[in-house]
Amino acid sequence: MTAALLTEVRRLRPPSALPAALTALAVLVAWEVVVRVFAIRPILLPAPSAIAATFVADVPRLVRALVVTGRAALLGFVLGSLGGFAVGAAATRWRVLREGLIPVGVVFGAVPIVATAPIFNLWLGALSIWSNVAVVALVVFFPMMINTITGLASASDSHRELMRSYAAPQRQVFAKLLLPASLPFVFGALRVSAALSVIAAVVSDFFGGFRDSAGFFIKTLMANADYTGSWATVVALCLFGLLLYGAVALAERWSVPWKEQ
Amino acid sequence: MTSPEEAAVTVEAGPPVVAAAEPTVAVRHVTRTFGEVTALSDVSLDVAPGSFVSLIGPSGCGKSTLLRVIADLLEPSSGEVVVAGKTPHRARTDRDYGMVFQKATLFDWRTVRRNVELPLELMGWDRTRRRARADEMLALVELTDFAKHRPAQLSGGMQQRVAIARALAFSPKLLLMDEPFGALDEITRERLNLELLDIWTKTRTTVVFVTHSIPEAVFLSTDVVVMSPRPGRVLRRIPVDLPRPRDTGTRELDRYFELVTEVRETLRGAGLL
Ligand SMILES: Nc1ncnc2c1ncn2[C@@H]1O[C@H](COP(=O)(O)OP(=O)(O)OP(=O)(O)O)[C@@H](O)[C@H]1O
Ligand SMILES: [Mg+2]
Repeated sequence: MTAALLTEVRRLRPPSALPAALTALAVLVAWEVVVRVFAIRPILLPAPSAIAATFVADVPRLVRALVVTGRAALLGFVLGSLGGFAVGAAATRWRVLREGLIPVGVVFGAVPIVATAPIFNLWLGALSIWSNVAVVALVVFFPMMINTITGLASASDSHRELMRSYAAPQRQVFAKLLLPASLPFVFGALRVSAALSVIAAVVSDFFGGFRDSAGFFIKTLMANADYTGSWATVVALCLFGLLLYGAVALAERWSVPWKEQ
Repeated sequence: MTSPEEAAVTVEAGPPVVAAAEPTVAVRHVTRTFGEVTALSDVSLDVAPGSFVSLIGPSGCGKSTLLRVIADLLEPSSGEVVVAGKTPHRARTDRDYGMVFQKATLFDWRTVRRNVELPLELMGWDRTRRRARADEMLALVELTDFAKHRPAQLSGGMQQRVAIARALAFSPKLLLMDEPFGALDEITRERLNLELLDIWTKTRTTVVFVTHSIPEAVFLSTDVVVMSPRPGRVLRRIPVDLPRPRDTGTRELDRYFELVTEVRETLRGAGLL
């Protein structure tokens, strides 16, 4: 009876959600207590309650900031991922391309985005969204390219041999074997890219000229000693990042159902 | 009986005049080397239509290599192979054979039913026909209730049965099986042996079956081909004259024990046991 009830409870709540929520709650409570007991100044660390209050008061401004920064993050995420996948797939088809691209990908993957942001501003105009999009797309491109190449190569020899025994043409081998086998890798890249694209978009905000972008807000609010305001913006960015990650996770569960959990 | 040489001539000279007794598989003086290693040395083998031929021999003697040469997954270094009266390449592109590997090689991302549908999809069957055929094959291997499961939810023996259903789905003339039950326990193996014989009787497919197990080879086959270790050669071909239909009682017949002993003696005579 109790066992049945327990499994029922487990079914309602995904097993990982409850401990994670409890941990987060404990951290918030501890944070609040520490700030109050030791009377820590807001410049160092504002209390969560103060951040929450500012957050609620600032909702319209934060939404505008997220629209500006989130749009660049999302566009860069989609375009960079599509590009990385397309080039990765082409590299699988043409061996020469692959051998040339993998080292290039590794080198470019190590380039700090902070360094590319001013360059893209110069090239595409600081007041154009495309300079921000380009920074994000570049960050996202190489992990996706590398994972696509790895994923498309991941089909086992015995599976390839099976397709060969059916005399399956190249196109069908790709569609029915290589592509499905690559999906877990592709989603691995998407999950990493979801977080990266928000970071990259904010970093490019710092260099860009959009007056209502999230990165610009953090910069000016800090300069104006509005510390809870910048923290509230950071929280808003976190929420946006989680949303994007959640969307990817949902899409993964739907399209890679055989890799449960 | 025509000698292999005569048959070869018939095939080569042949506008496609197919004699009734023409073997489904004819392997003529096939040698296959991998660098320094000679996996097959001058192997000749005829497989008559409708027969069930087992290849038995110690590990590394070239059984898989021989099967893969027949399947056009490997080229012979020299010699000739004829499958269903054609080159192995032609037989493969004509989908004349179905193959079952030692591992089930199912696609994780497909349900059991859609795994069985895979070859039919590649051959352009429409959805309804495919589905009906897959369900028919799943009934044959007694897995109807698992049509919607994923391979990971099945036991090893069940996965192997799915692989057999998949190989038979398009009614190939020839079934090539490379130790399909090698990884299974003795109980499951004997059950699947019975099931396979049943399927073979119903479908009248020609089977070439690789195994390590002497009892399995004798129980299933019309002929047991004993191979020697590297370089792989055919030591002896032993016709199995056990009555059919074979069932659990077959394994208790005196003749069954005699044949098992005969295969074992052949292997021992070659210093293999
Ligand atoms: N692709 C390959 N490259 C190099 N050597 C190979 C290859 N395939 C097989 N061989 C060699 O050929 C020999 C025969 O191999 P094969 O797989 O045909 O043996 P087998 O009889 O099927 O053995 P087992 O019963 O263990 O499966 C072995 O010595 C093996 O090392
Ligand atoms: Mg083998």
